[in-house]
Amino acid sequence: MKDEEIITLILQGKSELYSILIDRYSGKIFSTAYSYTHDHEEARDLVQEILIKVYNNLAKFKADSKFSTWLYRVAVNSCIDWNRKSNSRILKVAFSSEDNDVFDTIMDESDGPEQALLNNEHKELIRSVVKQMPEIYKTVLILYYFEDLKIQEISNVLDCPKKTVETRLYRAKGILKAQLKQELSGGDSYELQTI
Amino acid sequence: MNCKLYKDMLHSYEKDELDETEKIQVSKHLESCEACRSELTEIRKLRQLMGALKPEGFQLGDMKQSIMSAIQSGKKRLPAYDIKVLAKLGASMVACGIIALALSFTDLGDGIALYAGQISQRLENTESRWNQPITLINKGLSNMSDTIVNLDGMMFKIQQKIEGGM
Ligand SMILES: [Zn+2]
Repeated sequence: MKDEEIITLILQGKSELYSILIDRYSGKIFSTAYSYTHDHEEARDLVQEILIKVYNNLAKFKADSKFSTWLYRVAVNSCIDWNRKSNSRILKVAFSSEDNDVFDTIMDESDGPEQALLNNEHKELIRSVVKQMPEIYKTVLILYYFEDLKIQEISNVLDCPKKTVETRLYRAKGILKAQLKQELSGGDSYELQTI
Repeated sequence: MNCKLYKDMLHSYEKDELDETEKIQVSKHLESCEACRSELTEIRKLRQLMGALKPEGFQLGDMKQSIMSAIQSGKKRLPAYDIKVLAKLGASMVACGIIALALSFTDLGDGIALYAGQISQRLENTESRWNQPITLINKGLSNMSDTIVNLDGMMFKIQQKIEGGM
């Protein structure tokens, strides 16, 4: 059954069908939430909060957009709220002139086929750098790279033009790269002011 | 078009979201521009890297049950309310001819909002039926607790409005 059909039935009183949507989307919401919190328990709490919020607002869902888009919007907004309440570290970025490829470094050091065999230290590093990114860059990175959404979908979720998403992604990748480089080399950092 | 414009388009190019004309333009540019080629390679590497970073160990477990019971009873856990916000709410409810009171039942573990008017009426009714069979009194009490649950749901919605949620 399609999401939209399920929602129609729920709104007609079959609230038990919501469990299908929970099965369908809780994993995705968890992975998004985890990218913000970097903490299992906090992410679980967020998933629960988001799914209850979504249910309570189902009547406001307009069938002219995809349910998943709307769901991501609620999820991202909740994660950003969480982020503002929690004391996140301020990002500092090093601007380095050397141009060795930091993504290569990370991949070369992982001992195996590219997929899934990153060493744990690097996984932690990437996750924590993403977590510390300024909100507007973090969100597009998470949706494009972790959640594998298309630019068009991200632009629907964030309700901003595709061009804006593209520009943010380009900058976000640059920041991520610079920050990874800095963490890997242990170099000095400078307050991020130029973006 | 300069390089910067192409660079911005590469994330779309990678997920095949450009229109035909743009796609051809970017492809042509990539043939001649080393910088943009390496930019695209980076995007692909980063997709691989981050794609391999899915968090492990998420199991729905009993969360599903607690979400379902939360939504089916209409009873949600209430966040702690700011007293000023409550005061404002109170004022607007008085304006609607309703008096709102927030009571904290610490032994229930949850803050529960009650409409004082309705509840006291129910209490009076219950008292006036004191000489009625105990089943009737129980029914009165259970109606009252339904009201509490409904109000709880309302407060949750109001809270969402305050937070400027969806
Ligand atoms: Zn170029």
